[in-house]
Amino acid sequence: MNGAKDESDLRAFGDIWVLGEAKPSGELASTVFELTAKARELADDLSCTAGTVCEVKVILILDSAVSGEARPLRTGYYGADRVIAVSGERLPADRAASARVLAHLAAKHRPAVIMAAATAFGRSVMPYAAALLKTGLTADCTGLSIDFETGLLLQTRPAIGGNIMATIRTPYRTPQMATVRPRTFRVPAPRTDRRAILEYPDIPDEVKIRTVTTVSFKEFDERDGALRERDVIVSGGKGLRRAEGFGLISKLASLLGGGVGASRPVVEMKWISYPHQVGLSGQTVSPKVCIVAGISGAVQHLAGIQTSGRIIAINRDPEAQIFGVSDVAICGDLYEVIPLLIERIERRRGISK
Amino acid sequence: MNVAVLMKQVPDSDNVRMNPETGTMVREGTSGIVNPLDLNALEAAMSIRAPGDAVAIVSMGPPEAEESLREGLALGADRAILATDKLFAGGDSWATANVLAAVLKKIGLPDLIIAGEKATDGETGQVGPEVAALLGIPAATRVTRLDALSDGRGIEIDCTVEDGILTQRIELPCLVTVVSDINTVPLPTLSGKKRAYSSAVEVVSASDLSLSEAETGLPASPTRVVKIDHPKLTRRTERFMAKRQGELDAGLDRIVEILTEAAVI
Repeated sequence: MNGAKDESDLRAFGDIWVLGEAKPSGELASTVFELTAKARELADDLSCTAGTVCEVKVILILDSAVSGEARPLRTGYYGADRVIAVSGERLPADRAASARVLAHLAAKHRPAVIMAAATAFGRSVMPYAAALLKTGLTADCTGLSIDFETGLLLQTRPAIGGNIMATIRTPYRTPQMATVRPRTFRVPAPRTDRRAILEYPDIPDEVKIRTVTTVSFKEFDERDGALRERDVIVSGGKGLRRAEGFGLISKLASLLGGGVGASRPVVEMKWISYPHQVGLSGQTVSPKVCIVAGISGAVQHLAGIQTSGRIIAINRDPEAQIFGVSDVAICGDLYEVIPLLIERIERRRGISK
Repeated sequence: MNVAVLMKQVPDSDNVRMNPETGTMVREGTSGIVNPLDLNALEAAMSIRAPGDAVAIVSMGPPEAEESLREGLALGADRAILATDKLFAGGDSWATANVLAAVLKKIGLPDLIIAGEKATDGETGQVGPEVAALLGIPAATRVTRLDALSDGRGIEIDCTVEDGILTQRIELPCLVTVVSDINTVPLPTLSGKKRAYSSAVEVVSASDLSLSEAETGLPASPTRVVKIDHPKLTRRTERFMAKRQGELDAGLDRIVEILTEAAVI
C-alpha cells in the first residue's frame, strides 16, 4: 500500500505541535488542554522510538484587540514544553492569514506533527496551511497514536457515515497534520509543578496581511449552539410530531443544564435552527449523557452521538434502530415519558436540597 | 462578479464500496447525486451574481459525474467543467484540491468561488480551504449569509463558529464554503432542464491541465489509508416498555441514576 519506498524512509521525528485557539472572551478554549495532554503522550512515545527528545509546542494565534486573558502558560500544566504566541489585531478571524503564520512557523521549525481541534477555526486554518505546506491532513480524528516501528502518526477517523473507522498515515511528507473532534480526549488534572516557556517569534508583516475584517460577532443565546461543550444533550426528532414539541425538549435540557439537539429532518422542516443539528451533516457531540427522543436512529444521526458516555433513547417504535445503540431504551410516547422524567428529577432535586 | 461553484458527485445511498487494497472509495459505476450542500453553493452563486455575470461549475470525478453537472446547468449555471481522468482516482483532499485549482486557473480565476462546506461521502470539509490556499486567496467556511458589497470589491458574510455568528467582510477574489442554512434550493424549471440537455459539459483531462501522474490521484496524495475497522456501535441495552406494569417507573429510576452518576443532577 505504500508504493515501492522502504519503511525506513518513513521516519519523521520531531516536535509535536498543537494549534490552539482562544474563545471570543479571550480565554483559551478547553480543546487546547485536551490536545496538549494528548500531544504530551504522543511526544513521549515518539521520543522512545526516536531516541531523542521530542517537545510539545502549543502555537497560539491571538487577537490583540481582545483584552481577555489567554494565560498561555497554563498549557504547561498539561504537558506543553513551549508556547509560541503570535498576536495581531483580528488575526485569528482571518483564517488565511492565520494559516500563513502557522505554515511560516512550520516551514522554519519542521515539526513532525501539527494537530488542532476540529472547530470552525481549526477546520479552516489547518487545510489552508496543509495546502501551503504541501502535506497531508486528516479531518476529524477520533484516535491518534504513534506507530512504534516508524514513529509515524496513526490517525483514526470515522468514515462513510461512521460505518467504518479508517486509520490513516502521512508517510512521506511532514508535518503530519490532523484535526481532532473536540472532547475526544479527556482533559487530565493539571500538574501545576510543570512549566512551559513562552516565546514571541518575529513574523514578517507580509505573512500577517489581513484581507478579512470582522464586522461583528453575535454570541449564541442559551438555547442555541455550543452543543459540544455540554455534559448533557437532549435531542428531538420527527417523533415530536410538531415544532412546539421542542418546548418539552428544552424544558428537560435546561433542567439538566444541557443543550438542545435535533435530527436533520426536523431542522430541514425548520422546526429548529441549524446550530442544533446533530449528526453527520451537523455537529458531532460527545456529552456524558445523550437523551434522544423521537429519533429513529438513522446512521446519519448515530454517527454524531456514538461517542457519548451514555445514550438514553425514548421512542414509540419498539423496532427503532436507536434502541440497539442505546444504554437505556424506553419504549413509549415521549409526551408521557418526558413529563414524568422531569417530575422525578425535580423531586430528586427537592430531596437533595 | 463571476462565480465558480465547486461540485462533487456523491453516492446516493449508504451503498458505498471500499477498495480493500487502497482503502479508498470505489466511485466507478455507482449511481450518484450532487452533494446536497453543493446545490446550496450553486443557489448562492445564482443569487449573488449580477445580470451578465457568469456562473461556472467545476468538478472532479468519474465520467458519470457529468449527470450531476447537468443538474447544475438545469438550475441555471452557464457552463460546467468536469475534470476526469483515470489518473485522478483515489486522490485525497490535497490531490483533489490540486486538480480543482488547476481547472480554476485554466478557466481564469473567478471573483468568487463557492463550495459546499463538506461532502456527504468523504466529509473532510478540507477541499475548499485547500483550493483557496493553492490559489493564494482568502477563505471563509460555514457561511450562512452571503452578500456583495456595493463597491463590487468584496463580500459580506455570516459564518457559524462554536459560540456564535461571525459577520465578516472579505476582499475579492475569495472562496467561501456554505452550509444548508444559507438558502433553499429551488427545483429546476422545465426550460432549465431543456437547456441542460442541449448544452455540453466541458471535459478536461490531466494532460489538458498539464498535470503529471505524480501530481494527481493516489500517487500525489500525502495521506494513505492503512487500516479499515468496522466499529461496533451496538451497546448492551436495558429495555423498558412503558406500557408494561412497573417498567416505566423502573426505566425512569434508571435514567435518574445515570444522570446522578454523571453528576448532572
